[in-house]
Formats: sequence, structure tokens, C-alpha cells
Amino acid sequence: MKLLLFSDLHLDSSFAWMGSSGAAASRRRQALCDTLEKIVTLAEQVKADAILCGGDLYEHERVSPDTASFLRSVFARLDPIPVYIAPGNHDWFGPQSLYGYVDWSPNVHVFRSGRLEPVDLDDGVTLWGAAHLAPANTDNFLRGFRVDRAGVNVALFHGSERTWLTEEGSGKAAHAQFEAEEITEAGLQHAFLGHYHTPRDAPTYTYPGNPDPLSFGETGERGVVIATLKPNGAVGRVRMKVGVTEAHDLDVDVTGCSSLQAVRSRISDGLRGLRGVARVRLQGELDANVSVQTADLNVESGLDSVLIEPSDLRIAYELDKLAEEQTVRGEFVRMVLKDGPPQEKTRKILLTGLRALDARDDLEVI
Amino acid sequence: MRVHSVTCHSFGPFADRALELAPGMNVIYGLNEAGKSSWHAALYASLCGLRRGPGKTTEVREFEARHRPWDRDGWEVSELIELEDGRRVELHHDLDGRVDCSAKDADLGRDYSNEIIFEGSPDGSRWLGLDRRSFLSTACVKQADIQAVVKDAESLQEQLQRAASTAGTDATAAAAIARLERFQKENVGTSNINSRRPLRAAINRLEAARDALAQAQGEHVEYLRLVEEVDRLRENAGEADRGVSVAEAASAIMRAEILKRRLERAQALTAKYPEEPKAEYQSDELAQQVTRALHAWENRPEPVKLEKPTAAELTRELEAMPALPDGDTEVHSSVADAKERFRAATWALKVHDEHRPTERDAPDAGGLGESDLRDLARELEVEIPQIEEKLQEQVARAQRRLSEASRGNDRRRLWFVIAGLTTLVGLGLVFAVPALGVLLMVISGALFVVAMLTGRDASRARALEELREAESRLGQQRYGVQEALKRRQAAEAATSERGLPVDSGRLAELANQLAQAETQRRNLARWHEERVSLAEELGQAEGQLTSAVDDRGVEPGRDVEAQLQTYEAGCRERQNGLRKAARRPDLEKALEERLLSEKMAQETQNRRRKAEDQLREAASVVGAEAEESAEIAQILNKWLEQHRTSIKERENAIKEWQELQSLLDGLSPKDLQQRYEQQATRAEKASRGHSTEEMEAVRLEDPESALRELREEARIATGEYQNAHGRLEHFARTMRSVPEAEEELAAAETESKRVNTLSETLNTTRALLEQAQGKVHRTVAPVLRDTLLQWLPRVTAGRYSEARVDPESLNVHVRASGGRWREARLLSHGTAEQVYLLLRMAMARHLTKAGEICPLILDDVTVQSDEIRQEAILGVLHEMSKERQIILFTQEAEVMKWATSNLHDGPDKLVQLDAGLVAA
Repeated sequence: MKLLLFSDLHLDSSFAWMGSSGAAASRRRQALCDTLEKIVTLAEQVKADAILCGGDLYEHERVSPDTASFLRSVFARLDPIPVYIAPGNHDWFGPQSLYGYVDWSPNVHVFRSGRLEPVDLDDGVTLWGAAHLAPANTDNFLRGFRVDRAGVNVALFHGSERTWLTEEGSGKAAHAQFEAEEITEAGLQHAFLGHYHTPRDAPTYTYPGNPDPLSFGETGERGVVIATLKPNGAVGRVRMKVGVTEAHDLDVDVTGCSSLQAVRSRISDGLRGLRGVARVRLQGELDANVSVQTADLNVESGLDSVLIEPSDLRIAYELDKLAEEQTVRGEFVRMVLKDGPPQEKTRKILLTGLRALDARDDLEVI
Repeated sequence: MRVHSVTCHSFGPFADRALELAPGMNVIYGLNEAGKSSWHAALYASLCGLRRGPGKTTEVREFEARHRPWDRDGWEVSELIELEDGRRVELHHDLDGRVDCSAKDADLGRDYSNEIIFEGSPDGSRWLGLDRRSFLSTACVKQADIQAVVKDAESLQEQLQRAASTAGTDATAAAAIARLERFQKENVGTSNINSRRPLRAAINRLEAARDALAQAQGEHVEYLRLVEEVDRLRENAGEADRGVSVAEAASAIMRAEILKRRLERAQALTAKYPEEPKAEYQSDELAQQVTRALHAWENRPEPVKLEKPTAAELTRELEAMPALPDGDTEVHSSVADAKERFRAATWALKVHDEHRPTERDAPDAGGLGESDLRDLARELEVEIPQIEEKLQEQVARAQRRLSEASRGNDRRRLWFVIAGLTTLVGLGLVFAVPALGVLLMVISGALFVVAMLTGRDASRARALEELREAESRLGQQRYGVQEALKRRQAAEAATSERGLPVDSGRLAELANQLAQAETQRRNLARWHEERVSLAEELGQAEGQLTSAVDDRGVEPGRDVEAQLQTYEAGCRERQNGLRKAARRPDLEKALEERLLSEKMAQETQNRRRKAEDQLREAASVVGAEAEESAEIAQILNKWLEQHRTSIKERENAIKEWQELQSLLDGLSPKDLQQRYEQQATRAEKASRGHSTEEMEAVRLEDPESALRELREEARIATGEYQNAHGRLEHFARTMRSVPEAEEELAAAETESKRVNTLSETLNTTRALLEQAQGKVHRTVAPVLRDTLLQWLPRVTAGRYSEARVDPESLNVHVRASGGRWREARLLSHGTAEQVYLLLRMAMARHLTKAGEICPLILDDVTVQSDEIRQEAILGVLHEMSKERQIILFTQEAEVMKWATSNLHDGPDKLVQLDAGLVAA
């Protein structure tokens, strides 16, 4: 039996992280829909027996009316291929949930209980699914759960496997935490999951990860998982990339750039051939005479959005030598550096003061 | 640091040319185009080199344009310098490629390049604590600098500030601070509501973005609420539709079942009545007669059964009833009252006689009455009082004291006698033996005093008083005893005289007996008085009773009791007669009722007879034969039942025929069969999707009406759902996007953060610059002042000897000793120039690293000066050259002449450049 697993698409998500708004962000939201279209198409192409969605399909607080009709139509297209959805903490099931409002096609099954409930995937194959009924404080679905039937039993829900929680970073809240051992203890052969955006292929569970980028700096092969469920409950997994958006992290070294144009050229060179969105982190030693403002760095590119931010940008001034001067400038440098090497804030103060003493007008430092 | 030589391997117009310099003052003289500027530049470039890095600054480009060799490749200079620590260093700069640049020890060959690398290449000014930019402004004094001091009064202070701020390379700190303020005003501005600057704009944008997000989130909440409502209404509509569907299915099934029953009934009736049944008319008159007869017979009255007495018996009893009695039937009240009074008087007299008191004799009391006896008894019991012993002792004690007081008076009288005698003797001897006479007189006086003090009368009087008082009280007690004895003795004498016992107790008992006898006597007298009264009352009561009985017609007699009994017996007898005569009205009424009952019984009998006659007549008509009426009635009832059944069957056939016609309703049975099958099919279709339980749960008493109601409910529910859905769609079209609002807020926050960070950065920078400026100025001011104090008297020939420098502004004032302070910038041009050079030197000293001395390189600084000022400047420079190397480029012949006269080989040097050496 072939199952297509995806999760954490986060339709209608905000793209503030991208540093863009308006049309560019709107295009990225549309790209999430395009990704879901690709997932559905892929399900047809690989002749999946069912699609499993591990939650966070959309964001309840932001969901748009268009998303409601889109979801209905895109899953209806698959009919009769069944689609099983286990709502997560972002698309939790409640009285105002789109899941209740949308007039789903018969092939769509949304788990609406806070406890794992069975549906028959196939003869002798049971899928146990559950829903988050609130945006937080959802308990462990596996606690006290035990399958009550023979055959192959697999689960679909949105939850946090504890051992991976720390690796997800402090920004990732724990929801419906569980231990990997609880899967087998519950009599399940495998759990298809959502929540972690970083993909994981463990012996007894699978996190597909977010199929389309939701931030810069994402790692791992994110997309969908084509899971082959064997009669003995074993799961074979093939990961496939379906994301429409490309998110690039680009480090541009501006050392040696003697003009603004040189910096722009370096950025253009780095962005050449890329699509989607990019974050350009300026690094290196920028000539003290080069005046760079963020607005000046908006280079022409084929990308939807380019976020430019200083990363490890150093000052071309020879500060140690300036600090030896018996001048106001020297004293100024000594004052700024008295607490150690310049950080982001002191770097700006140093450059601003030195530029002012150099009678320059580019007193805003990026 | 001192420069020994500069070599232009390839620089400007020079190729492999060297310029040797002395350690003191060097005057390099040359006319225009003699290469002064080139040597000046070479001197700088060979010491400091050029910045090495990508791109070229404007300054470098200009320098290159002016000093790159015009007609050959390569651009290279070198210089030999000596540091204060004794090291001699050869600096070499490949100004073209800037790769072959080095600083090596001229004696040891050691490479010092790394010590002084600045902006990519060795910079010899680093040993001075300067760099290739600050060296220019610190060590090089241009003609324009001197000119500026002369032309612009503010220039001196501004140059000092610039030097203090940036070693003269760039702006002053004050200018930098002002620049920051201007920049902040333009690029940040204030948060004032009317401001149009970025800070206000960022705040406005942020506020607007927050408002927009709040609105978008509010609209989204409303959207979700509408979603919920639509969902609910859709469910309601679905439920209503489903209710209609179920009801329709149930209705269809019901209609099919009705049709089925109709068909089955029609089929049954068709089989029963192939043709229409005939309507036969029969007369029911006989049945009516039988019915009336049966009704009369069955409803005949029951025979009346009368109880005794009969009317005849009652009549006889009335006739035998007595007349009403004459006289009292009850005891008259006057008799009753009199009888009562008589009985009470009789009983009272009887009781009074039964309680007659007994008579008793009085005891012998010697003629004394009860009270006398009791007085005697009390006198006999009079108590004899006792005399107190202590009173007797008190009398004896007083007597003793009185006796003692009497003896004291005797001694006193003796002393008076002796004193008298002595006086008399003394009087006698006064004239004879005067001394003895006087002595005796004195002694006699003393004796009188003793007599006065001995045995006074007071104690005797007190003793006497006490004795009298004690004896008085003792006498009173003795009198009381005597009086008591007298009273008792008198009582005993009186008792004895009358022969009565001398015993108070027996006298008291005798007094009691005397009192009881008196009481008994008085009681008996009173009894006799009352009995007379009771006897009188009995007599009167008897008279009243006799009179009353007489009045009620009883014959008089001797015994009133007998009269009374006669009267009461008569009353009882008359009472019995009266009781019997009182039943007459009841009997008369009973007789009347009895007569009526007997009449009704007769009538009942008549009706029963008539009913039976009718029954028999009916029986004869229908041919029923029987003896007993009941049997006849039974036969007639059976006949009547058969008759009714026959009628009913006929009516039923007609009714069923009409029902058949109604069931077929113009159709043939076959058509009806077809209609049923069609309805059954429709019902089967309608019931698809509905469970049997659902449909069975629907009980439609009035299917059409119920369906109409359900359809109306469904229509309303659907309408509500569609309206809500329409509202939702309309709302959805106009609602704002939450993520877009969030993104705009994020952008606004980013912009706000940018502006605030910029503001904070500018504020901090400005504050730090102000602090640095204040600190440096406070450090520089004493340096400048000390330099002026050291040099000023010498260079001004003692005209000015004192100086002060304002640490705030670096404004310089000088004065002659005890004179008025004058601002240096307002001095005469010559003095101002001298002061300026001193200050430049001081600044160079201050800016140079400790332990090193920075040479001064001057370019035509006297070109605008008159002879006196020129000489003054050169004199100052020459003085300075004693502590630092001075290199003066000049085109003035007067300067050369001065140098020829004033400079000495060894420490100083005059170099005359040959104009022809500069390549054309």
C-alpha cells in the first residue's frame, strides 16, 4: 500500500520573516498553494492509495476564504483517492474551523476527535488519527492508547517526539509530546507525523518536514514522503521535493569593494541564476570610504524578495592605530572600544563618529 | 625622527635624484618649476607611502596625476630616516605596484615593515604616532595655513580644533557634532506629531500598521464567527431538508400503503358485488307494532305492594282517639316554687337541730376573771435582777483613792506650817541678825514652794467624783432588786387570799378554762336564736305551699304534703291524656297518603293489564303462540331481531357498493392496480438513504399539512443559510488579509527599529564625541600654553610673555607681563604668524608619540609676508630647528639670503634647486 505523507504546509502563513510585504509576500503565499497542487499531482502520478496530512495544513488565525475553497477543490480533484487530515496546533479543529465549514468531497476525512480513532485504509490495515482541538495544551495522543484490532496499525497525528525537541530550537513549542517507544507500546507499527519542520526518518515514525520553505536557513531534504506500507507493517520511504519556493541564504563578502557599485555587483553576482527568495548576509571588510545604505543595494534579480542584512561586516578603519592618536578621534575610538572589540551597536557608533569626523554625510551605517 | 635623505628613483620629473638633508633647519630654495613641489611630495611619499587596497581614493588619484613620472615607467621613491631611538631606517616605496614597499634597518638590514603597516603599506609616520593622512596635516605647514591665520581671525582656533580633533586631517569635533545634529534632524527628526521626518513617519506607519493588523485580526475573528454561523445554519438547513426528505418518503410509503389497502378493498368488494345490489322496500308497520308492544310490555310498571295499616284501619284508630284533658298537665311554677321553699326550710331546721352546741360549767377562779388570772401569773414570773460585781469593785477602788488623797493634804499642811514658822523667825532676826533673818526668809519662801507643789486638792476631788458616780449606779441596781421582790410577793399574797395555787402555770391554765366556758355559753345562745328564725321560715313556707296547692284546685286538708301529692298525681295523669290526643294530625295525614297510594296501585295494575293485552295482540298478528306473556315477549323479540338483521344486510350491501364506487373513483380495478404500483415505486425511491427507523419515527397524521410545514421550515432554514453564506462571501471579499497586515507591521517595525537605532546611534556618537572633545581639549590646552610660555617671549622679543588657552574652545590669549589679555587671532599679522607656528609645533609635539620628534615641513610659508614678518618667522623656525628638523621649501630669494646669512653647515643646510633639472 502506497501512502503519500506531507505536513506543515502552513497555508496563509505570514512571510514577514522574508523581509517583504505586499505582492512579493502574496506570491509566496500563492506558492504554498502551488506546492499543494504539486503534492496532489504527485499523488496521482505515483498512484498513491491515500494521502496523509500530518497537520498544520493552514494557519487558523490567518486563513483566508480563498484557502477554504482551494482546499476543497484541490482534494476533490483526487476523489476517490482518500485524503486523511489530522489537524495540528495551527489548524486545530474547533467550531470555527474551516475543517467543519468546508463541504469536503467524500474522499476527504478529517479526524475530529482528540483521541486516536480508527479508519480502515485497507483490509487489515487501520489508520488511527486524532486532531488538536485547541492551539495549545494538547496532551500526548499515545498516553493510555492501545490498538484493539489485529492487522497493521499505523497512526497519523501532529505531535512532538521528545528526543528531537531540543534540536528544533527554542522557537519550537512542544505540542502533544510523546516518546518513540510509546508507538510500539501502543501496538502501532508506525506513526506518520507532523510538527517538526526538519525532516526525520526514524524506525517507527516519520516527519516529512515542511514542503515549502517557511524561513531562511532550513536544512534537510524537506518535501513529501512516499511511504510503502508492507503487509508486515514495515514502512519503506522515499522523499520527494515538491516545494515551489526556493529560499537561499547567501553570504556576500564585500572585502575589497571600493564603491557602492562594487558591492552591488558582488550581490548581483551572488544572486545570479537564483529564483524564489534570498537572504544576503554581507560579510568582510568594507572600505571605510564606501557608503552603503540598504536601499542602495536593491539590485535587479529574478527573485521575489531579497533580504539584505549585515552579518559579519567589519570596519576598514585601522582602529588600533586610530586609538593611538592623541586627538578627539583617537579619544573617541578609545571610548567606544573600551569595552572590547566593536559589536553591532558599537560598530555603528564607531563608523558614524569617524564618518562625521571625516566630514562625510553618509552617517547611517548598515 | 630626522630625514637624512630622499631619493626619487622615479618620481615626477626626477629619475634617480637624491636630496640630502641636515638634522636642523633645511632651506630648500628653488624658483618655479625647480621641483620644490615634487621634492615635497617625494619627501612625503617616501616616508608614508600610499594606501594599498582595491580602488583609489580621490586623494590618491590626484597625487598620482601630479607625481607619477610623466615619461617613464615605474614610480618609486626611498628615504633614509633616523629615529630617536637611534635606528636608521631606509624606507622604500614602489608607488606603482605598491608591492615592493619596505622599511629596513639601514645598518642591520632588519625589516621593520610590519611595525608600520597602515592601509596595506608601510607608513613611516606610524613611528611618530601619526599616519599618512595625519602626518600631512601635522608635519606639513602650507602657505595657505599661514595665510588663513592672517586673513581669517577664526582660522587659528579652527585649525587648532581640527588638529586636536583629527590631527588636522578632517573636520573639527564641533563640526562633526554639528553634522551629526544636522543629520539627525534630517534623517530622524522628532516624534512630534506635526513632524514629517522619518521618526514621526515611522511611528505613524507603525501605529497605522498596528491598527490595520488589529482591524484585520478583528475582521478575521468575525469571519471565523460567520464561518461557524454558516456551518451551523447549513447543518440546520441540511437537517431540515433531511427532515423533509424523510417525511416525503414516509408520506410516499403511507400513500402507497393506503393505495394498497384501497386496491385490496376494491378487489374484495368487486368480488363480492359483481353487480349493484337491489334496494327492496318493505313496510315496517308490523315491526313498529311489535316494537311498541314489546316496548310497552318491557316498560310496564312494576305492581305496587302496600304495607299495613290500611286506610280502614287508620280511620278506625282516629275514631277511637280521646279528647284533650282539662287542668295542669305539668306542676305549676307557683306550686313548684312553694314546694322548693318548703323543702329547703324543712331541711335547714333539721340540719340546725342536728348541730346543737353542748353546755359546759365555768371553773372556780375565786371571783377573778380571765385577765386577772393572767396578770397574776405574769407577776409571779417577774424576774429578780443581779447586782454587777465590777460595780462593787469600782466603788471600793474609788474609796481607796479618796483615802490616799486625804493623806496628801496632811503633808501639805505640815509644809505650810514649817514655812510659816521659818518666816516668822526670819522676820524676827532681820533686824537683829540681818543675814540670818534674810536667810530664813529665803528658806521660808522655798518651803512655801514645796508646800504648793506637794499634795494638791485636784486628785482628791477626782477620786471623790469617781466614788460618787460608782455609788450612784450601785444604788440604782439595788433599788431594781427590791422593786421586783415587792411585786412578786404582792402577787403571791393575792393568789393565796383567793385560794388559788401560787403557780403561774396553773393560773394560766385556769384562765384558759375560764375563757373556753365563756365561749361555749355564747355559742349556745346564738344557736337558740337561729332555730327560732328557722322555725319561722318553715311556717311561712308551709303556708305558701298550702296556698299554692289550693289555688291549683286541690281540695284543702290537714296535711300539706298529701295535698301536694294529690296535685302532682293529677298533673301526671293529665299529661298522659294529652300525649295520646296529640297523635291525631299524624294519623290524619297517614290516612290521606294511604288513600293516594291505593289509588296509584290501582292505576299501575290497569297499565300492566293494557301492556299485556297489546303484547298478546301483536303476538296474534305475527302468529306467535304461547301462554305466558314473558314467553310471548321472547318470541316477539326474536322476531324483531331477525327483522332488523335483514334490514341491516340490505343497507350494508348498498353502502359497500357505494364504497366500491368511491374506491374505484371512476377507475377500473386494473387502473387502480397500476396506480398503486406506481406509488409503490415512488415510495421505494423516496425512502432510499433513509433508515427504516427514521421513517418509522415519522408519524404524519396529516401528511400534506405536515409536509407543507416541514418544507416551509426547510425553505426558511435554507434561506437563512444562503443569506448567511452570502454575508460570509461578501465579508470575505472585503476583509483584510491578516498575514499581509502582519507583514506590513513587520516592515513598519523594521523601519521603526532602523530609525530608532539610527537615532540611538547618533545620540550615542554625539555624546561620545562631545566627551572626547572635552577630554582632548583639556589635555591639549596646557600643552599649547606651555609651548607659548616657553617660546613666546623669545620670538616676540619679550613683547608677550604670558599665554592662556581656553580648554573649551582652544581659544588662545596672550599678554605682556601685567598687560591686558589679547586674543591671539587678533594680534598683528606677524605676531599671529609666529604664534601660529608655535602652536603648530606644540600640536605636532602633542600629536606625536612620546619619545619621537616630528619634523616640520613648510612650503613657502613666508611668501606673503613682508620683510620683518618673514625674518620673524624664519627666526622662530631656526629656533625650533634646535629641537626638531625643519624643512622649508621656498622660492623667495630673501629667504635664501637669510639662510645664507644665518644657517650653519652641520646642523643646517641650504639647498638650491636647479630649475633646469626639472624635465620639460
